[in-house]
Amino acid sequence: MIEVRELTKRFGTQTILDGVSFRIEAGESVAIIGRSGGGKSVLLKHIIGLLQPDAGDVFVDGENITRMTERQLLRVREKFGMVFQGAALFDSMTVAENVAFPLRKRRYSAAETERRVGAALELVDLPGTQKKNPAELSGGMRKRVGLARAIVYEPQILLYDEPTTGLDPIVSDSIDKLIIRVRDQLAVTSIVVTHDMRSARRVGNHVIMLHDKKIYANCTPEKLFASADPVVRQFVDGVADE
Amino acid sequence: MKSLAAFPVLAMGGAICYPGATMNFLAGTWAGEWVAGLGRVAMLSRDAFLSLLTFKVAWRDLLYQIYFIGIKSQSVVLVTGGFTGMVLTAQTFFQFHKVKMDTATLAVVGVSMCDELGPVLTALMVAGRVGAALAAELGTMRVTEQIDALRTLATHPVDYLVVPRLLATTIALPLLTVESIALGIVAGYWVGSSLLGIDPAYLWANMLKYTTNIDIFFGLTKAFVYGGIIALVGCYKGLTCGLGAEGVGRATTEAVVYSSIAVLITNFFLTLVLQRIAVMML
Repeated sequence: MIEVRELTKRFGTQTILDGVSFRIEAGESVAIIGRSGGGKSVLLKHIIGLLQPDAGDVFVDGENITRMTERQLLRVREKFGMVFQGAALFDSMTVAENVAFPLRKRRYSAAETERRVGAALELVDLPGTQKKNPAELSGGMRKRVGLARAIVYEPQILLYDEPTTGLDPIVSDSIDKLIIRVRDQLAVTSIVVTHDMRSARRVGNHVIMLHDKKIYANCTPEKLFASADPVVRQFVDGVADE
Repeated sequence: MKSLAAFPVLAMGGAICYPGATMNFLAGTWAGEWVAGLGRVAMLSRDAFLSLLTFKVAWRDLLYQIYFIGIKSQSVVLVTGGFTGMVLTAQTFFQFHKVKMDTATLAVVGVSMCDELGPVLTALMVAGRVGAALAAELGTMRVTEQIDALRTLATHPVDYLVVPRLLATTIALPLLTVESIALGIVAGYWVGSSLLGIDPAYLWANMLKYTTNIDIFFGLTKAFVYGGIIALVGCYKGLTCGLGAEGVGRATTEAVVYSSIAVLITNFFLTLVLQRIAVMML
């Protein structure tokens, strides 16, 4: 369970988030939507403790992570997997080494590590790519490897930071299907930050919309996409201001 | 105001950040920023030291770093040591010849290379090569979110990135310094005996007489300290660099400039401290 209470974040004099509160139950799949620069990724980074709020609290399974040191946070982060917007693969390592990286501390045998890496790559439809370098991969493949790295140690919560940004519609569709498949097969809590409306509608059984530094809507995708509210409609229909 | 020790290692702007508490009257000034920066480097050092004590070191990476810093810096360090020894021999001879002290030439070279020129010039060359590489590598990892990825994978960047580099530099720099000193003295001996016509037996004997174990101890201690400075400044600049290519470029330049200046300033005070220790020991 993740609970965010009255979260406020400023960078210098600019307020990014102002008193944001919500709760995500275990096993839920939530899409966080909002305009570019609206604080979606900042919110996601607070949930995993990569950023510290100026005010407010974040609870993960009842533990307040905003008061923790970096070393205390390492224990909490073992529950999480995160897929970054640019994949954030370690470019000095091969695909297999990237995916095996989270398993280092778990002291598996070489054969067991290899088996788990193979299974994770299989799940993201990239079998046989173990020896490739990240530089040899396309954008979509890099994101898949990033997802394989995030799921190889079977975390309870998966965070996706704009997983379909910069990809063509077909690859975006395959990434969406992958997110749904991982969610269903591994029974994880998923939080997907996106401004891709089709993606938000498909992967979330709950949608949180950020607008003007606050939560503007927190409801089911059906309700959001049927809404007649002008702010919601403008965003969903993608209409620019006059 | 909270004391520095009360601050956890906070995450700001997507990077590991070491917030410094500065006195209010310095806040926002150049001096305040400078003091805060020193505080952050000190906190990075503390984290690295604690990590070392708890053996959270990536040993495979340590071996690679020793290879990268030690083996790959050979050529630049050997050229620096060799030619410094040669020119110092020539200059010393030109002055000593006037007062008929030709055979003392290599003794001056030996003491100078061990006490000052060996450790300082090796450190400056390594700061240029390794300090820049550390800042560029870690800076690029920061701007491409690889450091954030490390943190989400429950790995502390200080354990995985800083400590192996710090250990490798403090191990490699004294070894490189020994090489530099040895080659400087040998090259100086060759210049003195072959090109300048000094009696080789007296030249070598006087060098052995006046270059003592204390001088070698000075050189190695200094190299160890400078290795720590270069690694910490390089890693700190990389971990806290600004975003984009400009941020990485600036971090790289600053790592070289700041670590070189720190080496030169530390050298003066370290010389005084080591001399005092030597006097107390003798």
